[in-house]
Amino acid sequence: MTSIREISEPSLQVVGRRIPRVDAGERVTGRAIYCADLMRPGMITGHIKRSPHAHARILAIDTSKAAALKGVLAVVTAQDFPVVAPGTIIPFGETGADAWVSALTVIARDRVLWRGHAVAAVAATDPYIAAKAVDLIEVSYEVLPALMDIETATAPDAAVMFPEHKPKGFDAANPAPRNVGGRTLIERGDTAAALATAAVIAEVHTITDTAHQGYIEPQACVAEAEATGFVTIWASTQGAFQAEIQTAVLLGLPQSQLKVIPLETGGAFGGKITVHVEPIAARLAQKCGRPVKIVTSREETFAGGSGPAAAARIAMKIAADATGKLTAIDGRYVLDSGGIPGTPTTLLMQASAAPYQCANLRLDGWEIVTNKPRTEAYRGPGGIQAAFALEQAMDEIALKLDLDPLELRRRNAAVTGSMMPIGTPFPTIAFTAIADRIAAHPCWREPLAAGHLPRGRGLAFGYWRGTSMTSAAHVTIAGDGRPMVTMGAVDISGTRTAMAQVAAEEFGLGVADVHVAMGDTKSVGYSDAAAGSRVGRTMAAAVSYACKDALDQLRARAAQRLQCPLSELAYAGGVFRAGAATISLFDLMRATLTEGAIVGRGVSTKLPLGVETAAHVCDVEVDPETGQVTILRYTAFQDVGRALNPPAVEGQIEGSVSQGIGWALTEGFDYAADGRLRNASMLDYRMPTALDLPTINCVLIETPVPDVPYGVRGVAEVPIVPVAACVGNAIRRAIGVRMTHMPMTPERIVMALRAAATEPVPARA
Amino acid sequence: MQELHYSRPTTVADAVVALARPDARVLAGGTDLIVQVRENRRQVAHVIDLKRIPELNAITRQADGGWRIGAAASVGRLGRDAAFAAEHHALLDSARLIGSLQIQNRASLGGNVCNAAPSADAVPLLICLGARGVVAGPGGRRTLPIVEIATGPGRSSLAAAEILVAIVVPAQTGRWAAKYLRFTPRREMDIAIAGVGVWLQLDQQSAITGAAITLASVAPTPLVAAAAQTLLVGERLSPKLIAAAAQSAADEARPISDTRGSADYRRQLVAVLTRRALEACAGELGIHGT
Repeated sequence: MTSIREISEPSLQVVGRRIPRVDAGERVTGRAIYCADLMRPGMITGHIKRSPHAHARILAIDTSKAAALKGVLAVVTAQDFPVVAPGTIIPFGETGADAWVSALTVIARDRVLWRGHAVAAVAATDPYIAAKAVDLIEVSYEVLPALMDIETATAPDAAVMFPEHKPKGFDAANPAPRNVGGRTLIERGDTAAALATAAVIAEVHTITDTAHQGYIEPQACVAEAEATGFVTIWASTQGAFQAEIQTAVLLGLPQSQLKVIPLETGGAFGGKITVHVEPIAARLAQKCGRPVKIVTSREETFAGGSGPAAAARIAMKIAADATGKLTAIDGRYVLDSGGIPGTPTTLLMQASAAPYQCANLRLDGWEIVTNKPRTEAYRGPGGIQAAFALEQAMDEIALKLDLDPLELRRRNAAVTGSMMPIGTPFPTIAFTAIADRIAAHPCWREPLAAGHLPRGRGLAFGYWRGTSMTSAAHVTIAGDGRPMVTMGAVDISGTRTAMAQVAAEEFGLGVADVHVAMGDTKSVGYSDAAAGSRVGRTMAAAVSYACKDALDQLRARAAQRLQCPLSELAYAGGVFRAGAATISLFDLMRATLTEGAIVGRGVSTKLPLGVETAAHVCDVEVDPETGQVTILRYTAFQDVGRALNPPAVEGQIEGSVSQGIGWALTEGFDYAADGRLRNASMLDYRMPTALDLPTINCVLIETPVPDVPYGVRGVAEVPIVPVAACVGNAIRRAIGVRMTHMPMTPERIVMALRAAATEPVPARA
Repeated sequence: MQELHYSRPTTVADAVVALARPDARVLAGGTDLIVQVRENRRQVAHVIDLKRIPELNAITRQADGGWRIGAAASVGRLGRDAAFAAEHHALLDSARLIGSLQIQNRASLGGNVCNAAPSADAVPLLICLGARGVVAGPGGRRTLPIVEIATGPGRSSLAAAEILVAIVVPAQTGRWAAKYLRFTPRREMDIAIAGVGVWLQLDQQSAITGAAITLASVAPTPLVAAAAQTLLVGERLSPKLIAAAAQSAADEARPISDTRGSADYRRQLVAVLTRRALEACAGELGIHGT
């Protein structure tokens, strides 16, 4: 693998260095301000009334008793918001987004679509009155059948949730099954013929339960309406501009009358792109003239007040010739979108085929609406489900052909220039470099020592397409020559630190000489949300461009001061130089600040694609009597393009693996047939504790993306992709049973072992 | 959220009087009560804090070699009593499964008993060790076996104005060992899907002279596996005997299926944990090859 580096390593002084986060001190001392911390003069509490039914028609809402309660200052229902029609497309990323989805997510209109769906809200002078007022709101419902899983929702006699919704690709001659939100088919070659002539076929059918992103900070905001009509929202969001445009449409408010100020975000992972509470708080604030704070509880967040990740069923069939060369990938994907159609399937489908070269593909993706909370993104949305199917099927091929699992993957790995599932050639892709590193690493080279209990080693590859979208930053120069960066993106992952490194690098200064701030929606240019592992790379580009723009303006001034032509002017380390004459940034700005501000502008958009690749290796021990899995060793290999700040990248990998292990082994929502969530607490929704997690070893491989400043790749999504498959493969190698239902809980392992013990033993293990 | 009154009596008599008011609840560590009140799961008008009553905080070795543990004494304090820890490390280990270190510095054994959760981790071994509760009420004092306190999830046999003053763990004689094992899908911050407490007493010839097995999380209350106990007494430990007792305990369990685990799985866990706890006791008593 050729490494193409736009800037050669030795010239980098700050980028790539291991530095502590610029916001670490305020975070760990509790001084950082989150929405729940914010106090405004006269502020009161908002509280949301939620549906006790999974699916019901709203016949009437009587808010009179609540409104009459002393201390209640405002009450809202869907009637207080304009109707937003389906297909109200608002700008977001490369595809746009439908504001109808946001509107229906925020508050139910005419029908409730899941248990916990908001139906009304109050604002009151204290939280106790607000809670009491919510109880006084009387809603009469006509309860409709609850469709709690894919089978029920697609049954021929199922109630149809969205009769007006017409998914593409179906017509009268070829009608869609019930409650289909959409279907996508990617086909290449002749999969049926390849399957018919294959030397070996592996088939794995997986089920993945709904899981939650598990961010520490639940949905929260503060909204304030001025007498002029101007509304300010302090938000916990991945994208201030996304929050603003959704809220503006949902309130029918011009964007000139609305400002969103992003505060610190206590985790998001995809769940804080769609607004949940902001329009409600804003409308309450408008109605009563007082600032309104809404902080949802953990139970609300789990049970209907936020969007979890989609459950999925995948039937994966792959074929190979006798040497292990893949000849067909045939996948059928059914995603559970929850209560509103629109869950994208294509990224998942690509992730389930992209790691390998294969001439024949048939990827058939479906999304189904059910009466669960509408699903939202979760860290590489769909990637972990995709790999759970594909990589376990690959392991089956390795077992059937008695091939080394790494060698099997190396023989098939996608390489630069080979064909992506969507039919275009891959840009630089590092799977073979990763395979080389694994082969040489002790985690693979050293044999797994025998233990008291069965042990196994698993391997899985992971792929994520990555995205770009758009980012904006501007740089001004202070009167002492120091650069001040304002960025349009929210910092959910150490972005301020990384951007301080980029700006320091561009100016040849130290990180401490640079100030980086998150702008609000009225102080900086439009940037897409911090989503899709994009902010690090596109904001680095925007900051780099903005710094270069500012330096060009400074250069002109310096040339004038030093009375030399521009071409004779050199710049390094904060000093302009022309022959023996020099002027520092400090002196330049002291002399010229009042001649006009320096404003450097940077906008990056549609950067070259930087695909994300990873491979994980883990060793597990399984107690066959209790089903408990202990992860003994975990090593994550990843092409990061270039690590702007390696500890931050390792943190993303460690966090991803931790979340992946949680979903792999213990995290899954347990819905009753009536829509009640049985495990709506941190006690029963079992996210792993420190004791459940191994030391996570990170191996960073740097293959920069050509023509992208610093060659940065997205790093925060692909590390969750291989985790469940890697653990599943290790479990299979330990106990001989293929676990296909995620989470692979101890009970499911015990039951699978029991079932295997009563089945006839197959010819080959 | 509810409005509530708080009082902090310094004698048992005052506490009993205070407790006679409607919707009064005692507060020791508060690790169950405060959470229940905050989550609106329990209606409380008066909170009677017991931590200022000396008798409820005392941990004393009695003349006969038994231990008297004040009902409000924290698990953390109990663990720092070196003599108690040396003698009752198994009981202490089970109490140290409750919450985190911070929680253990508040949570009391008495609270674990009176909260009456079927999953209470410290209760099975208290029952196995033959512990008794000293209860004070308007009519004076009485003692009763710990096993008689819980009557269902969150319900106890104590009368409305009665408080648990102390837990008395009788002196243990002869060769004995105890072990509590539980299973949780997560290693910490979790509730047992099944738990098994075992106590064994042997004579000098290694015949079993006493056996106690109490199960957690597989019935509405901690459950004594009486048939399994009977199987053991008078016998010598062997893999066959242990397997029979484990199976008996599993048969005696009366688990439900819920989001934490199915009845079927809980029963299997009871068998596994009973066997492992018996093996651990055997190992501690120097009986090998079981």
